[in-house]
Amino acid sequence: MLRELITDSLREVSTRVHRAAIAATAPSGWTATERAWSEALFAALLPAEGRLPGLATLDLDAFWVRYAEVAPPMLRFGLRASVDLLALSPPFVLGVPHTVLGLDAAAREALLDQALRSRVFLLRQLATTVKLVGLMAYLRDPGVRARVGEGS
Amino acid sequence: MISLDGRDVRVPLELSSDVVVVGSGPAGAMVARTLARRGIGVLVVEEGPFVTPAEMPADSFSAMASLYRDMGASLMLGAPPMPFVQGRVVGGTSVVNGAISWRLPEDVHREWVAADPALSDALPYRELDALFDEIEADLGIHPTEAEIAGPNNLLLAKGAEILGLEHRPISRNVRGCRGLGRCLQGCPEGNKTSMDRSYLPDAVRHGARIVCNVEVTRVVHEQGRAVGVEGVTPSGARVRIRASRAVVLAASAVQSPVLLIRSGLQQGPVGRGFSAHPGAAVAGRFREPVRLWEGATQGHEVIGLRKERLKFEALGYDMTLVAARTKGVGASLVRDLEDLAHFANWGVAVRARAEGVVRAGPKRAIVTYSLEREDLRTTARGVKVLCEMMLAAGAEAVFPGIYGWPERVTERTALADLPAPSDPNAYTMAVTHMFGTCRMGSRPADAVVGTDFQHHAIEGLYVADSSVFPTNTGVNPQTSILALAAMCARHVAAR
Ligand SMILES: Cc1cc2nc3c(=O)[nH]c(=O)nc-3n(C[C@H](O)[C@H](O)[C@H](O)COP(=O)(O)OP(=O)(O)OC[C@H]3O[C@@H](n4cnc5c(N)ncnc54)[C@H](O)[C@@H]3O)c2cc1C
Ligand code: SF4
Repeated sequence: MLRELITDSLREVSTRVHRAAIAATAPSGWTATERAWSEALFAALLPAEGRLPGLATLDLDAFWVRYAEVAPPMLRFGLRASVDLLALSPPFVLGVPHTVLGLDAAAREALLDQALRSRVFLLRQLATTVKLVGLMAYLRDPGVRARVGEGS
Repeated sequence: MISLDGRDVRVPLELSSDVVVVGSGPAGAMVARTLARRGIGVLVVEEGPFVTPAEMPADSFSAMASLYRDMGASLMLGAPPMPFVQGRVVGGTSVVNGAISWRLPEDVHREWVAADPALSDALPYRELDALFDEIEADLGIHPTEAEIAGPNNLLLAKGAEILGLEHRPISRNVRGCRGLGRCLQGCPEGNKTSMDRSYLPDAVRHGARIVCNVEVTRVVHEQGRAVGVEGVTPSGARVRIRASRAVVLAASAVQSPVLLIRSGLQQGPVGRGFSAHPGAAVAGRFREPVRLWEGATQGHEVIGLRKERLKFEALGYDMTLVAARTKGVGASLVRDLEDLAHFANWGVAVRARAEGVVRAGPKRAIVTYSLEREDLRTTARGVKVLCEMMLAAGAEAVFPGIYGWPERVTERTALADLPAPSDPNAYTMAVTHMFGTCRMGSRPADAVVGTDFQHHAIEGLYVADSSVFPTNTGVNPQTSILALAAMCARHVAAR
């Protein structure tokens, strides 16, 4: 377990190094680790699939700037807590000794899915918060809106 | 239309008027135009910005960021935890509401009078009826035309008809509505006769002034008399506004009691007796495209179960909120998004029996409100009826959204034996209609304002919004708020 968690931490550090090259996937003020967690969760929430781009490939800078301006403290706190707790939840939700960064894409998706369906209300709330904010960011993009709107 | 924008004020400012009205939603707009038309000087102070139709955003996030209080994410503490949603913009919540118009039902009026017979003379139904006639004419209120209804509304009509439930096109305050489905993000063409497009311009034509982006922080009172308000601009500059005749609070059933409490006015049950219409929604997938972000946002309603404290409405949303109603994540969520055009979404509003409390937090209102067991049962019944109507209308699958029930239901028989969960957290709900926190009544011990809308302890201080309603109404409140605010204005004018 310890070895896996150390590996995850190293992965987090290397993610930090790559951060500059990646579109912003978290509000400013979050630690690099939290940003990496957020990126992993949002990428799992809305992966590139069919006609639609993945959330992680969109430029979300403007979204996070506006979010920081207008989101009330309760939502800001809620999103950060949701990302942090979900990122650390794989041992409890999936029974695997990893943070979200130690999971492959399918397991990350399974993590979110099981949290959304969990008997534990708090877990459902955490996953719902991530899903709602992720969808707000995603469906703000005119290209995505046009493609979703076309579907019939 | 705006006399002064608080964003331009960086040094302390003093203003004055005969009457100061706090809030520019339906209650404030009606008071302002009624007084202005009588030649009385009115200054409306609004915390939110002025937004033109051309600036109304298409997506939920941008709309919530610019038009809603706290992004529509103000959370009530209780079970289940529910957001209470309010506009914060010139025109108030009318800018982002569904434009549904209802007269105060006579049976609700009878309840009010039974609880306090003095209301029979103070709010005679005959007079309310005459006001409803005027409001309906002023705001172009009329039933939604089939041509602009769109499938989300027409399918609800079909489902209700098959189940034998009374239903009808919704009467809405719109003129020239083209069914763009964007009422909840603010009509981009100004076709909704929200207050910024109707009573506020009328008030301004008659001499009223509107100040936006100024948050009123307290009512100033001296020797038992209201003499003005104090406020603050976004840059922190103090604004003091003197009122020679009256101060009228029209800041909503959540914000008006907070202002009273912050002003040291704890008289009566201020903040207590908060009541609401919590709402739940059900999504369903149809074989044919529904495209519920097109068509009249809310164009059809089912009224056959009003006596059971239930009212159903088609609920057109922006695609963001529809997507949030789907169950999955990852690839399954993306598939649902690609298929989103086939989803319908309808809502049920519950005339809940629960009562809550509004308190003043350091920066925000704190609302505590938990549903009663009976309210949960009523909600579950409402959700079941929504599912049944959807399946009757031809849905391939419906998504009830109650934890513990099947996520996806394809047959009406599967709904028959589902019990109403007793865990409040099994329900996902939100509140958009709020009442009762500065109740009107003849007895100062039980009421915050008297039957003339004037505060029981402070002369010249009035409350005009749905805070004064003795109970919730079971129907959409805007038109009732307008009528009562007109009555309030008459009392202010008579001072
Ligand atoms: C999404 C949604 C849809 C709805 N749909 C319908 C519908 O279809 N039909 C219907 O009848 N009802 C509907 N409602 C409810 C209806 O819009 C409200 O009941 C109504 O607008 C309340 O009127 P009001 O004047 O009391 O308050 P509001 O309309 O909320 O206006 C209050 C105003 O006061 C301002 N204010 C508050 N505090 C201060 C302060 N301290 N200083 C300065 N300004 C302040 C606020 O910014 C706001 O603009 C809906 C509500 C929502 C949220
Ligand atoms: S349905 Fe569309 S056109 Fe009609 S009032 Fe609402 S936003 Fe405007």
